[in-house]
Amino acid sequence: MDFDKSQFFQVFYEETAEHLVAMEELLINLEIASPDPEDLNAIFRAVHSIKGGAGTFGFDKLTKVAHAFETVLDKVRKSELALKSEMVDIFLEGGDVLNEILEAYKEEGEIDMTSSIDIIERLKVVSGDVLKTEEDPKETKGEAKPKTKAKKVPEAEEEEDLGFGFFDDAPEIEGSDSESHMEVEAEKDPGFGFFDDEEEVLASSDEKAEKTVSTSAVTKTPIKKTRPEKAPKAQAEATSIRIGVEKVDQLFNQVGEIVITQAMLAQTASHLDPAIFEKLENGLAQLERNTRDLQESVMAIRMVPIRMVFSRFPRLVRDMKKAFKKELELVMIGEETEIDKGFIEKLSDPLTHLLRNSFDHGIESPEDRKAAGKDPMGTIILEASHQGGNVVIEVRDNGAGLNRERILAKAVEQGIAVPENISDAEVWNLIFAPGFSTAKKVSDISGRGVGMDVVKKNVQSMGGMVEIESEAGVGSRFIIRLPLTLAIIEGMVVKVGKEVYILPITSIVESMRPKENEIKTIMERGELVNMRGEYLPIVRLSELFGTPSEVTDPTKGVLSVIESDGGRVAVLVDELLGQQQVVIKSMETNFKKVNGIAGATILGDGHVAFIIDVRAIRSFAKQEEDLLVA
Amino acid sequence: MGKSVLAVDDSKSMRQMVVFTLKGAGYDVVEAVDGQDALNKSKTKPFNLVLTDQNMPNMDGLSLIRALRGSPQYKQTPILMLTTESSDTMKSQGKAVGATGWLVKPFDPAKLLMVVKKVIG
Repeated sequence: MDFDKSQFFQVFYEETAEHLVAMEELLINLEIASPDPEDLNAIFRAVHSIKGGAGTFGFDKLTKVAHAFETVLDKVRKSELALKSEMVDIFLEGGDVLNEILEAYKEEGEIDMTSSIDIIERLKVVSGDVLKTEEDPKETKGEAKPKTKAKKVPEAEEEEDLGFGFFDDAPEIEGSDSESHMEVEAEKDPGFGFFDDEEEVLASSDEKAEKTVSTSAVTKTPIKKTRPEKAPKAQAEATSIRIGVEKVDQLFNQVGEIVITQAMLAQTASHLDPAIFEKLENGLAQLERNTRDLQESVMAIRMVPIRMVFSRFPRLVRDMKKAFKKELELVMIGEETEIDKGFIEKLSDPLTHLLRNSFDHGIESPEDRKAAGKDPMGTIILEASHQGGNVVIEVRDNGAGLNRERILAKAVEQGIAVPENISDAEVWNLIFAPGFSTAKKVSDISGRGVGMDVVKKNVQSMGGMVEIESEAGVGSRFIIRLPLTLAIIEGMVVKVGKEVYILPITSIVESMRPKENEIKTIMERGELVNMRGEYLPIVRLSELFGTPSEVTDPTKGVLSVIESDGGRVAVLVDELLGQQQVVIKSMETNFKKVNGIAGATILGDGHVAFIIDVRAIRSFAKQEEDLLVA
Repeated sequence: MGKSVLAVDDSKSMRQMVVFTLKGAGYDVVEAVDGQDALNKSKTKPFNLVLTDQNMPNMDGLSLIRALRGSPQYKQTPILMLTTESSDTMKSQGKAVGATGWLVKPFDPAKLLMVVKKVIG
């Protein structure tokens, strides 16, 4: 039978990843002294399922590790081995190794077996299996037939062993060797020959079943592909269906179109006399409400609980506590808060870094905490919530707080211009500068200076922003604000000549009209604006996109200072038209990639407006700057 | 008329593969995610064959077989265990609760089909 198993790989990958996450959570919460047998069973089942699937789909390297893992877990769940905390460590590492292998298979990359071999050895040591790897006294039960090895090396055994068999009704369990039994069966012509008494039974049950089936007029169509439509049939999945992301995106887009059409209608109707067109107005008002509800419902489809990111942090904290002698409790609040699925992966790194940062720089040693009259046990709170149209994620600790003097000293050392009388908030912002680190010594955890700037960059790439609040001796708060979805941004609508552009609000630092003495022109090749002592390059959108503008003199227009990757530029526009939510339409799918443009949107009046790619503008300005320097 | 099979496994990828294999051969397959689910579904119509995994949450394969055998409707329906455990202990347990046969996982789709054909044609 020609059979392409690869069509099931995706499901297997997802399933395995879910098993690994569930296992890790169970392991971390395991009561070492008196583990809940149900938890032990669940952990065993996770690894067991991974092994089974891996074997079936031919992921041999995964099977090998899962197998060694399963052997130990089986002993633990049967209380043949007492659980120890070192075991949990090894199990967690085992989970990591399985994850690595899984990722490697997924990416079709090279699989380095060193960590696998190492973990298998250690699992064997734990299980006491080093010397007699082929023996499991529990299973053999005196009858040491070679096929008991099937448990140990199923992939090797499958070839010789037929791998299946039938129980007959003869009362000879002990004597009956199912292997020889099968051979007889296999030699016979497959069909209905071997279970005489069963044949009748089968026939009768066939009839019974067929009667029912035929009356229910089920048409049998051999389906070539198993598709998720099967899923609703399964009980545990009855409340959910699996849909391709592209379908959801399409729905999202179409709703976006309706929003735009509705806005256009509303705008057109605004010129009408309400006294005459009352019914139309009412209808439009209702349409607006319905549209908004529809938009929210569709958006909700893309939303998943933030638990999917948070769930990996108890492990992180556990590892950090182990590596560094600090007492710490991690409290997670609002794990059910829903965020756009697209954020899940992107949030992991920044949050990991913030947690490490709080652990490393924030929480003091137990001695220091005692000396300061604090509870020796520090606390880091990870909290997610919805606030207005945003998802807010906070990492706050009750540690020492940011050290103003040290940050300032470091800034000076790194040649960062620091204004006098700089406010606390501005000092805290300094730590987002690339390469900034105040750690006294470089630790394994953070302090390599590859941190906070990356956090900020990642959050900005999601259309969000990071804020810091800190008080010496009391603790720090890092607040990440994200939009509800990647598909809609809060935009500043700006006008340049006849064109209208959108600047993402999250990247705008401030907008101002400069005075004449603040503008400097260098060799007629570039312009700079003096923003309270800092010179920022001016980018004229009209020149960049080759569209005429009404305003050529910056002092008559508006400069919007935008920030990206830690750098700022001032964008010259004619005027600011207002702030609104815009649905992002991809340029690539509808036209082609245009440098400097992140996407497009359709405004309420039907006009198409381009959304400015802040990073591209910034790098454009940087090239100009480099030219100036050269 | 396609004979009906109830395929029980907590692993979705495994279920999909069983379904794909059997449907391709013209069987009518219903999936269940664990023993309890299977027991509920077994009451919705008489199946010609039950194919079950052993290790599952809520209700494992052996318990499922025991429960099915307790109902008159499934007293004699063929039940195959699809399991990674092929030890003698497991086999005698399977036999004791009334399983018809077993097939070891990982399995080859062709072998699954062959065994199923042997049992229900």
